[in-house]
Amino acid sequence: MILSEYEVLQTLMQARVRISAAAWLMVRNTHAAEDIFQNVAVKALTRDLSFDGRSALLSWAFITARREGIDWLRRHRRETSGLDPEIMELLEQEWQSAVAQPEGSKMDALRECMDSLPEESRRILRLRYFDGHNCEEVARSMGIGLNAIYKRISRLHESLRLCIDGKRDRSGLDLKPEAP
Amino acid sequence: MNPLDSNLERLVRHAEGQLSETEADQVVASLRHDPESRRFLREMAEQAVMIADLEREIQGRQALLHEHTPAAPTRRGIAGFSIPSRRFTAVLAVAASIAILLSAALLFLKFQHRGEIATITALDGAIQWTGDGGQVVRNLQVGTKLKGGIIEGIEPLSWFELQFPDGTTVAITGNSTLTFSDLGQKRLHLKSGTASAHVPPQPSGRPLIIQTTSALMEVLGTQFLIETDTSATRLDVSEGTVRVKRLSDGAELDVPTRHRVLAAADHEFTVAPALAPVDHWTSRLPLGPERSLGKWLPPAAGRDAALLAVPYTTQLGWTIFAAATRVSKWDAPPVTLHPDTHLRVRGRLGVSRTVYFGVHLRDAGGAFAGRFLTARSPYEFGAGEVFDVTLPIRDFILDPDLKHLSKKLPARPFELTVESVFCHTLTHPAGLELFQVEVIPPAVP
Repeated sequence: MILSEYEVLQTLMQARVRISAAAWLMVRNTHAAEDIFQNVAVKALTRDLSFDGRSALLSWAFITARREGIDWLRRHRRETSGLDPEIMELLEQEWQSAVAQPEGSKMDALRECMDSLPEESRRILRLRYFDGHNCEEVARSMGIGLNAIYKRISRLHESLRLCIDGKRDRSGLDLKPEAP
Repeated sequence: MNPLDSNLERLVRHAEGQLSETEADQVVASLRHDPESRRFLREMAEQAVMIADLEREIQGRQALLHEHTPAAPTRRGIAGFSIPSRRFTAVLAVAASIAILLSAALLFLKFQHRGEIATITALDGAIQWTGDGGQVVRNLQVGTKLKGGIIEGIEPLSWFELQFPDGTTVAITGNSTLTFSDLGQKRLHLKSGTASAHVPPQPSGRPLIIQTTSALMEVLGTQFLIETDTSATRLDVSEGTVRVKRLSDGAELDVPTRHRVLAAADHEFTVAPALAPVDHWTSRLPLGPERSLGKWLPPAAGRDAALLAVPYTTQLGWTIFAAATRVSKWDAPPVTLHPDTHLRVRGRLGVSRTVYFGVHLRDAGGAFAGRFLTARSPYEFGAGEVFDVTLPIRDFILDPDLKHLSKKLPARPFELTVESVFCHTLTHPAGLELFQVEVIPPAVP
């Protein structure tokens, strides 16, 4: 069944974080990833495209986001070309097949989990993902070794995942992330 | 080191592009076969996006809370991102129109009976119809047939056009309220706001009647623009003749083509020629917030007067943060755009966000002529810094929200009158302030 404009928009917005995340893995810049998602959404709605079901739309959206990401890297003459294409495809397939849970609730859980982090941890994440610094710059800015930053960031992501899962799982305990 | 920690750390380094070729190959192999590694990478990427979202939210909130103490500028170690040629507002706009469509079927069922006197031929933004014994309908759409009643624009950017069976069209813009009926003679009551009309010749002895709180107008066949508030009615006739009666004393005047009149008890009641258009204009925000959208902030020591963008929520619940200032006013010449006109905007953003700049236009007859806009990337705006952008009008495109009216509206914004200038950010508050807006005429060769 061909999706209506409303269904296209609804599906894209429900998958916004996942599509933006796929774009981020290409460009490693959250603001560029957001712009890429916006471009994908505008293309879906303003070009004469039709989608035979949500799966077809999501498949098109991830592929389009990847192409936009490649264009962005080319325009910005970035040395890297993002993740290995085969891995990207695997990740996209998993994102598409994942049971769509409301992204809003995940955001709410993340907000609470972030609030419970020490300020230093929040600063590392802010520098890396909002201010757009790479890990080396974050390490310099924080006066910490680069390896320590990699370790901190990986642990922070994992502890945030546990915290978010805990908060979303109403039957579980309200887990707090551990300060790495 | 814990092997799990080590693996996660390598994934972070891989996502950074900081692994040697050999290490990267190992990680790719691991990602190919290990769903847990892929899960971590997906989770990390999602968290990165959401953390940026949260931070925008926090900074936007701070910018609003400290209206005039913008968030401290953050260093951006990111290469510039090119100016998008499209704009996300299209999505929001389409979303809003979809919300209208969703309830259309029900509306059609309700209106499939006799007594309808006019059809909606164009609309943009939220409008509301009240009629049929007090029934209130908000989700109207093009093609909906209406019985007599009250139609209201309930958003500052609303626009709506109604057509009667004889071809008479009446449009209202902004927060306007119009009552209409046709019991053999069309009667309109403009309670407040702005309306324009194109009226073909009316039956003998049954002119179209328009009433406001300060004037009564009889129209036999013409094109005109009316603005009214509680104490005055301003009428601009672009074609034909309109007879105007000032209600305070019963005085009457005929207003011919390209003439105008102000009907108010405290103003001389005389017909005057229409003002010739000009091609330049500068805002005067320090003088006050007249006919503007946004929170007006008076000038203070070390700070210009400003219009602070205020939230504006579409029917689907999306929020944009917009500020707008009226350009062409009744007591000043209309401001016209040409192909080489530029729009200069000076303002400030609390946080770096994409900013959308636009113009609302009307044609010579006063009818809505579209909304044209352009966008500028966040990388052109430093957090907390004053920006000063000069935008060629040639770059402005018809708002994709109005795509369904593209055959009815002009394709380009040239030789049209600027009703207002607006700018906005999307989704999160960004502390957008406007200090000055200028319409710059084409350079004289």
